Amino acid sequence: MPAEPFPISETQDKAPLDRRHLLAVLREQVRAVEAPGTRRGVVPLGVPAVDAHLPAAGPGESGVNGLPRAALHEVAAAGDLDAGAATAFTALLAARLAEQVRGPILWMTRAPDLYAPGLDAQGVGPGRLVVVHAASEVDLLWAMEEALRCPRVGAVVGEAGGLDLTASRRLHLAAEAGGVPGLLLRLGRAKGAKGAVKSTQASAAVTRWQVSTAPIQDDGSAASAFTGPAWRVELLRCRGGRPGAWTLYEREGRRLEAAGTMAVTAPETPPPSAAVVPFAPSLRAVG
Amino acid sequence: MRRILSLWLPTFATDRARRGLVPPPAADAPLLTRMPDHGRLTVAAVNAAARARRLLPGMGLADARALEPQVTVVDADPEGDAAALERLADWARRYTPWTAVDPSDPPGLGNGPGLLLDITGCAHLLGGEHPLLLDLEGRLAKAGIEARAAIADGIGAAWALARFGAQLVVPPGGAAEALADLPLPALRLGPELVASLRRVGLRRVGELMRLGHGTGKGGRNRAALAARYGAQVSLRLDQALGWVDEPLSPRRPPSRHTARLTVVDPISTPEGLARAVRHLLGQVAASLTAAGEGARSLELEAWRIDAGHDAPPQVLTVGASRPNRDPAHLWRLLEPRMDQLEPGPGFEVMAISVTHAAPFEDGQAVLGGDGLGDLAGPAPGAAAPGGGNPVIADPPVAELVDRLGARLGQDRILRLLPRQSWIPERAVRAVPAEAQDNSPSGAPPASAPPSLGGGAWPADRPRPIRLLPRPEAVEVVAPIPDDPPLLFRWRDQTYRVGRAEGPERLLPEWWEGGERRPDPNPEPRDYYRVEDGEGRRFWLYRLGLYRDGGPPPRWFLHGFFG
Repeated sequence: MPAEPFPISETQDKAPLDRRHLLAVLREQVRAVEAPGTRRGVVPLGVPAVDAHLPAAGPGESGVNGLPRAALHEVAAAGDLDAGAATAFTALLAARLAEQVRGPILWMTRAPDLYAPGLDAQGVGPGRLVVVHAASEVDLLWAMEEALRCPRVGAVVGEAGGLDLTASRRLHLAAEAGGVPGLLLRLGRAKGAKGAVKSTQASAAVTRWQVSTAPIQDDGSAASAFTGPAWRVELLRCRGGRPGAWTLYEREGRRLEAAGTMAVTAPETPPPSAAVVPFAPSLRAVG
Repeated sequence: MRRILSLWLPTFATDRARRGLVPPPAADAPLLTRMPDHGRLTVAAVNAAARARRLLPGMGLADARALEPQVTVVDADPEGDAAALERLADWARRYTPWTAVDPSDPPGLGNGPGLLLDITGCAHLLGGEHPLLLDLEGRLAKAGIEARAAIADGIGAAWALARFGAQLVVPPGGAAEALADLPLPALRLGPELVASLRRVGLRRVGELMRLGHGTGKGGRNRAALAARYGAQVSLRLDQALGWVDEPLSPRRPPSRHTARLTVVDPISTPEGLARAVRHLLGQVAASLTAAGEGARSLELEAWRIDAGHDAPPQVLTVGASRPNRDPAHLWRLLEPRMDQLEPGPGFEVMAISVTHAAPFEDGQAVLGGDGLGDLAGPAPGAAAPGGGNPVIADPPVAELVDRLGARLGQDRILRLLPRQSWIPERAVRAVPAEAQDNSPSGAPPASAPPSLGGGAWPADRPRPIRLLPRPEAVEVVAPIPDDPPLLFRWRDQTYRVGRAEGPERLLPEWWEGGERRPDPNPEPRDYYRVEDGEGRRFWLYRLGLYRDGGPPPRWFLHGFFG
């Protein structure tokens, strides 16, 4: 069976199709500018309300919206005490982004308080996790860049503090080159941290999230207050998508073990459709 | 054929003593070292000038002073001498990886110590054995250290020639001829043996050779010799003639894979260093390939042109997470460390040796697919094939881990594995990512699902995602005896508890702790998960129990939930 002709040659051979294909090519080019990092596919979060705000995938997998894989993302804790929530949300994103590939999740940190059992509950298990304790910010950024350029890595998380536009652009380019998702986790705990993580600070990250804790909606039926996390998640910026804000929490009655499958579903089992309930109407409501 | 260089330092102690004096006395001025011996001071070592004036080790210091009032006297420093000799042996590794302090020179006899160098296959780097020998002697002479060296097939012959012979290099197989005219002490025999042999008219090594190894009745003579003077005589004779192998035990176990480079023009530029190292790595890699091995760790040594004889080489050590023999990869490990070398005016000798080699398997590339192979294994003993940890068994990842480790330190690249302990800070075992992990304690229950995360730690015990390295004391308002707190104060902030869950009582394992926790009845910790009004969730615990009349238990904050 002869191989299908390469599209571009088809357009040259058949004049009537030229316009359609040309448009497709142009659309793809525009998309690459507007939504960088999507060329290697996008990874849906599994929460339809959130996914609708994320960039669309390339023409091959139309209809899918999600986080661009080969790109830099940024998660900031809204306040000092939201470090746990931001860490957990980042772990969840990393696990989701690394789900379809093999390879380790490298977690670069300078803090001594990362706790593996908590990461495990978010889907970053000890079989995948490699923690890199950097002694300095310079080392941390260097290690992140090295790791992002290694195509066999599942995902790279970096707890970077102050980061200028140039540094973040370097990381994003490394992520694009290696096809590895990068996640900047900004806990803003450095000295004089007040305002260190400003939403206005320039960054090359493709998506930028801000996470804080949310009180669990008490409907009286919860068996335990601690069945899972509840987060106030704001998508402050999203190239190729739209900003938004949601409260994400876990459905009652689930054990924490299932938190990983709440939003991050193992490929072999289809996700329960109502596993995650978008709670409040979006701050910047869409539709 | 082995080639051994024996180096004799006849006046090492006084040479060192002279170097230590300011200003150093003239080389031909008599100098001796003294040491206390049975309540009086005796001469420990003398230099050549003092010996020429018949000052000898062992005589009383007063006698020596009477013979030569002008003599310079320095305290003997046997420990310092021994240490300096070890450093000299290290320095001599610029010629060969096999160097050793000569064990047949008992210290304190005033005869001067020695070194042994196995220069088999190394001499061509300096243009031959003779140039090597002259180079060695010349460098030591420049440092003010009297040295005599000889090269022969075996330790015995080289030893004899360095001390008693006129011939510096004995060609292979020529030992018997070269030794024949030497006196008996050249065989490393004790003074008593030499004296008793001399009493029967034996003075030269050649005479003993004819007696011990002649034709016809030789065998019987040899037996008679052994019967009369002990096995020592024939053993030393055989060793000198190279008939009995005498192993050289090197100061450091040498590597089987090593390459060295000696240059005429010292290397000082980064480009030159890079070129030299890559050249050496290529040679080491070829050697590893031939042996079917890969390097787990290797060492780069560099000798500066201006380094003194007791300056050790500069050393860089790097490790690889799995056996590797790709020169490009090994170079990437060394490259970030190269700026730690201080070439100064330049290096003239550089060497790379593989300090830890392991069998190289091409199949390593494909092992460890699902990233949980070592954790989901059914039995603790069943290590993943290849023994590595699957998460980094993938070669590109392994090389990444190596690169990160080479710059940041291997102990900073960690895997966090479950450990069977209820105590939170003990439930995680951090192992370097490069470590071959197949210790049983790392294996979780066999029920671990083959998916991302989950199940490695007990799921019904929620754990925080950030754990304070040290629990921090908090003030609480809590109903007694074991209710969760209503509010608590941490770092000058007060938090009102909205909801709480607990307690989960955790007792330190009595078998753990050892000296650190000798308490036979450790206090239990009661952990509560509490949430404040804004949904922030903390992990608090109460240490100890309420007891009538006892001190109130203390409260601590230990972590933050996600």
